[in-house]
Amino acid sequence: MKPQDTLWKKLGRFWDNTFKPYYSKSARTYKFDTAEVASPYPLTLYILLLLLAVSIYAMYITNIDILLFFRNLPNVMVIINGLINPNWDYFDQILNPILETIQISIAGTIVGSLAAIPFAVLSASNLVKNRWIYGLVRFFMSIIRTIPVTVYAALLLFIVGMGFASGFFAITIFTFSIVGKMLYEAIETIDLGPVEAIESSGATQFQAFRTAVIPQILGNYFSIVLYNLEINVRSASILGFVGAGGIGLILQNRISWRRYDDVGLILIVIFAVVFIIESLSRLIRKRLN
Amino acid sequence: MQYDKRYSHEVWLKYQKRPKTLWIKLLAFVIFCLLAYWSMYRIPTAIDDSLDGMNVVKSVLYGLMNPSWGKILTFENYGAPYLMLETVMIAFLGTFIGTIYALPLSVLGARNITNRYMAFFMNIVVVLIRTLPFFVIGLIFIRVVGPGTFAGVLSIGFTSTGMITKLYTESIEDIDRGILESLDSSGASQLQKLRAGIIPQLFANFSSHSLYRFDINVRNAIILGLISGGLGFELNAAIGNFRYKDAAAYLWIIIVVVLIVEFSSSALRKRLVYGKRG
Amino acid sequence: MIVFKNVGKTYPNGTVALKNVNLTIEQGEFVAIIGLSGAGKSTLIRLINKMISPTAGVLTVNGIKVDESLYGKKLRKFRRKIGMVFQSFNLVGRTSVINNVLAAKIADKGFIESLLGYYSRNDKLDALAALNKVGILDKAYVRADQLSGGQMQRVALSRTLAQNPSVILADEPVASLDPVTADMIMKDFKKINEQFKITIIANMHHVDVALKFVNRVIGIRAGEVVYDGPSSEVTEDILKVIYNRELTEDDIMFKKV
Repeated sequence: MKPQDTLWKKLGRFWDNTFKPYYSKSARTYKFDTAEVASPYPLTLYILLLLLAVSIYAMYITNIDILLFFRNLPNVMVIINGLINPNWDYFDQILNPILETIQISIAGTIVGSLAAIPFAVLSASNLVKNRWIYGLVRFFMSIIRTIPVTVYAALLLFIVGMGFASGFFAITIFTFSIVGKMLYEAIETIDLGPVEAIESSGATQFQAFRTAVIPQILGNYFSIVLYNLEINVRSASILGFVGAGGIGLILQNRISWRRYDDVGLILIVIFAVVFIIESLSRLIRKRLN
Repeated sequence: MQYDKRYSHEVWLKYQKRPKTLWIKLLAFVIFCLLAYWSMYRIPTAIDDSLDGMNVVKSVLYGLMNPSWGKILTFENYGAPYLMLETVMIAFLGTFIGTIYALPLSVLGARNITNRYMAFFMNIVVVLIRTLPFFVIGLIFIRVVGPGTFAGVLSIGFTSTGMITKLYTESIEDIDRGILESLDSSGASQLQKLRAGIIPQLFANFSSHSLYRFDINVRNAIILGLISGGLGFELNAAIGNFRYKDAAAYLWIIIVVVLIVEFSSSALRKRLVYGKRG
Repeated sequence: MIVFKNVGKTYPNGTVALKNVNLTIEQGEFVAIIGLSGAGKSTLIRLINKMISPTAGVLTVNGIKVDESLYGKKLRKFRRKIGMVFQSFNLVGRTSVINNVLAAKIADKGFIESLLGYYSRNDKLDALAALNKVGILDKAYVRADQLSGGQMQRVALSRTLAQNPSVILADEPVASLDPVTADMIMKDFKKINEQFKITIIANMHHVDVALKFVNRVIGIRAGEVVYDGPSSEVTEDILKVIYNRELTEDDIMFKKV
């Protein structure tokens, strides 16, 4: 576009580039010496319109009331005020529940990650050649993955009891499904060449696996487990809501009583725990590489 | 150490200089065992034997085989499909809001666009938003606009902003300079570089990130329903009242829809990143 | 001693990879197998340690018949004595060089030892000695993916040496390397062959490399042996027969100045 073009010409060119391709094939054909190539029909406009339509429909269904939001905004200030001034004295009372939450997270992560290993191995298409086997195992794990953690916790309440037990088993099942998926995806990226090499030296398949496959995914495995630990600490805090132990119940209680200073403290402690775990995991991941 | 004459001197020297990692591995293992024990010792006592656990498991499985078809096959207000639709819409709008906010925030947080201090500050803000559990945010928003889907949208929107911004910032910082250089050398203007060089890269990446978040948000929206009303709430109510057939109805809808969402989102994302053949 | 008597390999889908192969390779020879890609070089080599099974004829390696009777423990024990080196090195990048070489020893270990990855002090010394034989002892504790191509192939070579093999099979061992490094690796092969009297059978698609280093050349074309003789007697006409065409640049590694 040259600066001395008239505005009309610029508009015309803009129209030709953006809108004309929708109704004229020649507008999107590029001519070369020996051939003509037409770029495929542009979908951008339709996608945008679709998104807009879905958004409007969604707003209708979810009863968005922006005015309500602004009317109640002062409430938010009250809440934020409370959060910023945490009640440090409250710490003694939440120490045990927080520890319980941490215990649930760690225990669930460990057991879930270990249980996932055989299933991940069975889901890997480069290790298991039979489509039915790995397909079925993957499908089974997907279904387990779609059910939210809180549902497992709620169900388990009546199976293993309230508090610690249901939280632990819920996290275990949830971790199992996620680690399973991440692990089999990692297994599929490994190089099987070394396996052939070790087998050609006279080793059994198991030995070849141990020397050629495991070193390749051990690092990934620990990364995956640590990542899940971080997620699980957050999930475990929520599980308390359904009665599965830990800090969740207290959190809800404090919010209902509008004791936002207490809530502020709890959030800070949770933040601190997650931060510590994240930092430790980053350190460990660096060491592994 | 006995000197085995079969091996040359240099080999021995190298052997003696070997890194002695066994101690670290042993230490790590011990720490791990301690941690495992500390976190798990309460489990055996925590399991409540007085409950008729097996019976519950049987009822749940039975309910899964015969869900309440009445709840599944209706499009009425409180049937499973409508509730699921509500939940998906909450996730959709939440992702949408998150994306819209993430656009400016991510640009501000990218080290290759703004200066280091601004980027650092933005990153801290984003980390702060990300650590707030969406559930807690949900509780807070309920205080503001009352329980219901609106609170759900706001919460998901708020928390999505965090992760989407982070992913967007990473994409911006990872822009392939090579394409810009080659465009430069062929005499393109700033605007043209933006249109032909940056936007295609970013569009694909950004869409992929938003789709990823959408997938997660659908699951979170279900959980959030517990407090904000909707599918999550109904499901938990059904479980709490031992209405396992109803619960199963909701569960089946959740399973089917979440699987579809996950499958299509990952297929779409693969196509966005790799093109038609993948 | 390796003896091929009318050996052939036909795949289930009908492709004939090899037919009428008659060869005798004595212990201590350094043999190169040359020919076009797909002519059957890889197949020939993989028959020797039964990575591929022959479908016709009789193949005997050091007195042991390579057929259906060779399986399980017997097969693994048989393979212990045969080392293999690959074009893509096939090392485990994420672990150290010495761990890669030690992997050659795991075939002798029992279940628990294999599981824990336990190697004795003598194992480790053997591995270091093997590394020393190819001259990269100093890299023993370095992560394998930090090495250059030539160094990686040397590690692969020492991995086979740690098995104390009587035969080393090399499948395009220098095809991924630059000419200078390829020269060094081939010199290593030659040294090992002369010093330890290990039979070395190497596939190559670079003709000049083969002719420069080996004593005996076997030419394969379309699954059949078309030449078997000393490298000194290989002429351009013979090469034309093996390759069924004029030689191109791709077939030569060391460019003539």
